[in-house]
Amino acid sequence: MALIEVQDLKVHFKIQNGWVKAVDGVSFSIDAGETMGLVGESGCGKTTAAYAITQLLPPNGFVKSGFIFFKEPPRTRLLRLDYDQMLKGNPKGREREIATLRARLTGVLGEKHGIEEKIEQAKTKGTSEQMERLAAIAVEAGELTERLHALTYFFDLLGKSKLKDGRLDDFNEEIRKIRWKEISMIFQGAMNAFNPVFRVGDQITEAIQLHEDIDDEKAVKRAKALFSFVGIPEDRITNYPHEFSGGMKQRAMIALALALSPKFIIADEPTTALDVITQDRILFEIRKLQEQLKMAMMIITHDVSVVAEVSDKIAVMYAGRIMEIGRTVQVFKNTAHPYTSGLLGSFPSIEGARHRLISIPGFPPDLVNPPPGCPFHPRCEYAKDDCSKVVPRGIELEPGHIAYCHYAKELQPRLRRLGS
Amino acid sequence: MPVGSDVVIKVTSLKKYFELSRGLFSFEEPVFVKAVDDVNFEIHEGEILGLVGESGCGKTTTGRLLTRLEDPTGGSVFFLGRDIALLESDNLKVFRRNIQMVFQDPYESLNPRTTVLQTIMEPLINHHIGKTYEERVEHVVKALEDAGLAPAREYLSRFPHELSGGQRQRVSIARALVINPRVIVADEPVSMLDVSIRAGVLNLMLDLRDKYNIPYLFITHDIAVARYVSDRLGVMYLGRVVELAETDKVIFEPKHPYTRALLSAVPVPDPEHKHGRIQIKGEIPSATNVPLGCRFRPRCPFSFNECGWEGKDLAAWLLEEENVAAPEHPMKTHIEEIEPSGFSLVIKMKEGGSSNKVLSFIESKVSELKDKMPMFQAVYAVNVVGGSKELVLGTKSIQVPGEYVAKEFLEKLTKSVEFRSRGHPLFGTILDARVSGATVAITVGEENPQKAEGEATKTETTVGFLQDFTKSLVKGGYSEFKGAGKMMVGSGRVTVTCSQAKLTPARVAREAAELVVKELQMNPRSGFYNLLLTPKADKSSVRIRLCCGGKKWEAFAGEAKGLFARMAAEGNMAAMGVEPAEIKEIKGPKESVVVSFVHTIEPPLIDVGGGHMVACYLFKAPAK
Ligand SMILES: Nc1ncnc2c1ncn2[C@@H]1O[C@H](COP(=O)(O)OP(=O)(O)OP(=O)(O)O)[C@@H](O)[C@H]1O
Ligand SMILES: Nc1ncnc2c1ncn2[C@@H]1O[C@H](COP(=O)(O)OP(=O)(O)OP(=O)(O)O)[C@@H](O)[C@H]1O
Ligand code: SF4
Ligand code: SF4
Ligand SMILES: [Mg+2]
Ligand SMILES: [Mg+2]
Repeated sequence: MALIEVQDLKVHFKIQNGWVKAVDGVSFSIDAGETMGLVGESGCGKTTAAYAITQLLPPNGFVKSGFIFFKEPPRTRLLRLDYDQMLKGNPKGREREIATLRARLTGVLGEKHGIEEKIEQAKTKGTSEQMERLAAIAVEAGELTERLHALTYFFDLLGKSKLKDGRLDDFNEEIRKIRWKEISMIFQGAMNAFNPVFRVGDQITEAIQLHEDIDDEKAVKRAKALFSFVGIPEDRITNYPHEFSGGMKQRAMIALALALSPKFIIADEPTTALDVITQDRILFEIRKLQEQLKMAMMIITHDVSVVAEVSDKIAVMYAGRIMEIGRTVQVFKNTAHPYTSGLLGSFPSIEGARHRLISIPGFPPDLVNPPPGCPFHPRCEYAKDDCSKVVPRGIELEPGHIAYCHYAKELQPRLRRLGS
Repeated sequence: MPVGSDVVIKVTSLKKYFELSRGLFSFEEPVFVKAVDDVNFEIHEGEILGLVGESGCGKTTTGRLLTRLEDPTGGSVFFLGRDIALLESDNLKVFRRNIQMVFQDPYESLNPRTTVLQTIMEPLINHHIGKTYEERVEHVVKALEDAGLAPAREYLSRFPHELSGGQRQRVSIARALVINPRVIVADEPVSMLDVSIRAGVLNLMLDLRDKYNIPYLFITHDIAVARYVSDRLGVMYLGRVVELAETDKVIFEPKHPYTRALLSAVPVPDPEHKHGRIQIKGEIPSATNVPLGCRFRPRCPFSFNECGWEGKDLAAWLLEEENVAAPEHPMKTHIEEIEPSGFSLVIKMKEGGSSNKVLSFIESKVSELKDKMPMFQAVYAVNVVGGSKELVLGTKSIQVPGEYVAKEFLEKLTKSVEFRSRGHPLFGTILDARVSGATVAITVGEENPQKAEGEATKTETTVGFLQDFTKSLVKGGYSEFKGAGKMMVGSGRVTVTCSQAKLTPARVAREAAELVVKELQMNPRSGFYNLLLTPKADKSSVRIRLCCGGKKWEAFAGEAKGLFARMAAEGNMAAMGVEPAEIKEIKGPKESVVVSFVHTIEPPLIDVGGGHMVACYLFKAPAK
């Protein structure tokens, strides 16, 4: 069951000479306990997608479209999809439907009391008949509410805080409650996370105490446990951020993000500053925790070997869009998109002879004026005429394995993939 | 590969210890992080020296020492034969231009308020490169495109927060390369770049080396990258270089156990790959408490008797493996407490416990386990030491003048707040602090005219900070600072006036205990170095115990007396409140068993053949 589902997300940045189309129609979903790797060239929009989910976009970031459903019950989701089909291009119809359902709900519940209170009352002095009647009301009300939730996109996080112009309201209470507690993030630049004038340990205990009602002593104990979890000696808890090495800051950031046992964690390049032994150890600990808590994770990285180790599935992004998505083994072993193939091919190895590394020829696209059609066409060795005109639709190669390339089926057997 | 023999950079016995900030305002003994601890290497013309190692092992600090962003605690860095610590004015300027560093975290190292263009142009202006503005812009564009950020003009007017992580990293690379330096220290320069762009940047660096013979210190945690770029590779562990050789030798014939573990953990980009890792045990050790002997020993899977064993190791074994604290253990009735101290372990007897029983228990374990556990092979003596006395120094209350309180205040302030060090949060806010009479005058930095509305002025920040500081002092038992909360604010200056105060006997005792630790326990020249148990201060006395018996007691009483007389003469008020020492019989453990291990120095980095340098006792230099 999907814990988080991102649908057609578009985030653009306003700059002096136009718009940077950093995320331009991205969809994916992640189940509880599952890890998705998000990979792609520097500047392709990975961090931006993450910031849209945690709603930490800078002031010049605008959400142009999309939904982010979080913890949506499967039945609600199905209803929502039904309604979307039914009411496609008919916003009036949707409004009418909502109004009808609301009226029915009020009718069923009556004005004065909530249903729970009524049941409580019936339990103490009511007859069994009354109880039965109330139970029936509860079921009906539940169904109506479910429908309302589906119609109004109740579980869409963006809907809660999106302002008219597409910017997100930084002060939305509901989102603030969810952020860190339910959805947390390990930032790419660890410095983003810590205030240089306060001690690292204090910042962690403060974050814990902001969301949980526990005393100083317990909070400090928790912070210490988190420190040893990420392999920083406990006696360094009283240090300032500048007294930490790059990797120590990064690990403290990981500790901070895990402090409240979130349901969903976005790890943006969590191990860029870590040596392999430390990285290994931390990824292992995170996976253990993930299993315990059924935590879902999105790990953003350019390090293909990290993805190979930890991800159940991966999404390959290019120029603000997803190029290929599927189970990790599918994407790695049955690569179906020329960009993915290029990405895997330029990975340096410690085995074999040393040879000059090849990069994908050409430059990353300018996201202010992205190429028309398939965004990869200027650099794609297989590009044909229609590639520069028509945006490729997803081609499903196997269940769950989708490539956004016109020629995915034909190219798949010819592409360079891992181990070849 | 063009590896010339001319040494460009030479590093000898390089050390950097950082003093750590402790609890909020703490007056405990300072704690040092040994970030770099005796490092030696050379970098030749046109050579790329790679440096890999665990997070926090001192790679960045080494780089910062090389570029003189940090001053060494010991040792030297030579640039073309000249000690960089001695460079001044023009020479220093030339050096600064010739050596450039690409910083590890581009989120930290780029000024958030300047555009990409301004950032990269700044060094050009500082070093008078390029005649016209247009020419400089050309340089900037070229540097950016070299670093893989294209089309460069698209980015010139952006601020760092408008760039992705990898884009920022390329801006830092361009900034370092734009003035054509002679030496480059690159600290994880490609960590945020995807493989494709990374290839371009690494190739650029190799090309620059080939073309201009530029040497690099290339810090990375990515072994594959290190292999790709470096000619020689150094492996660091906890502040030391433990292996150094030609890159392929290190990677294909690793010798040091840490290197072997590191290499076996390199992940492979294949979801079906299974690892054959060498597990190294234990926690990442703290650089504040470096193991004696070989610093890798507590985690080393190959450790043996010569590696240097400590009291701590035996203590851990007694408690965890042998379980002497368990009620059914035969030694439980004899042993009161176990206290490691360097290469020794002090086992204290319970009331009525038999030191001979413990002695023979330890001896039997040593002979039984000698062949199974290298630690026991390293035991060289087990002794019984007597000790049923303690030295008592009475303390009385004393009046101290405001001048004294002010002096103390300044001392505490400078000891716990390093406002003169660049990285400290109060750097630039508090510029200076000095005493005159009973006041402490604090000079505050100039206000930033562009400060945002609502932001505190430097004076306000300082006053707020000093109030907190005073409060915490008083809370910490230093009641004489109660009066110091009164502050006067003048232009660019805050003055704290201290009033006359009374030191309680308990305060005097605490101060005296600190003096004893500092002057006798921790001072290698004192004759009692490491021979004291931590002094205990109570309401009106300090009690001190020695770890040895016999005549030493008298000598110690004499030395303590001398110490306080000297300190009192120097104007230390607390010392004036200390009464002459008395030796008293006490109850409690009469004897201790002391287990001593062979004192072992660190394995030095030696050539074990063909220029392959290793610091590990498993490897010996080949016979000449
Ligand atoms: N605040 C902003 N204003 C304008 N452009 C921005 C802003 N933030 C990011 N961008 C641009 O949006 C694009 C996507 O940036 P993002 O940070 O999402 O990339 P990324 O995939 O995380 O890359 P990396 O791997 O380098 O971190 C980049 O081209 C970047 O320059
Ligand atoms: N200014 C400072 N004050 C106190 N301690 C410091 C300071 N700078 C570094 N340290 C400490 O020195 C040790 C070495 O730090 P350094 O930054 O050199 O490590 P590193 O090898 O670069 O690690 P990483 O790979 O994580 O970046 C660490 O324990 C760090 O906390
Ligand atoms: S759609 Fe065309 S240009 Fe795009 S990846 Fe496929 S073949 Fe290449
Ligand atoms: S000297 Fe060598 S064998 Fe002994 S502990 Fe150190 S690394 Fe291991
Ligand atoms: Mg990013
Ligand atoms: Mg570092």
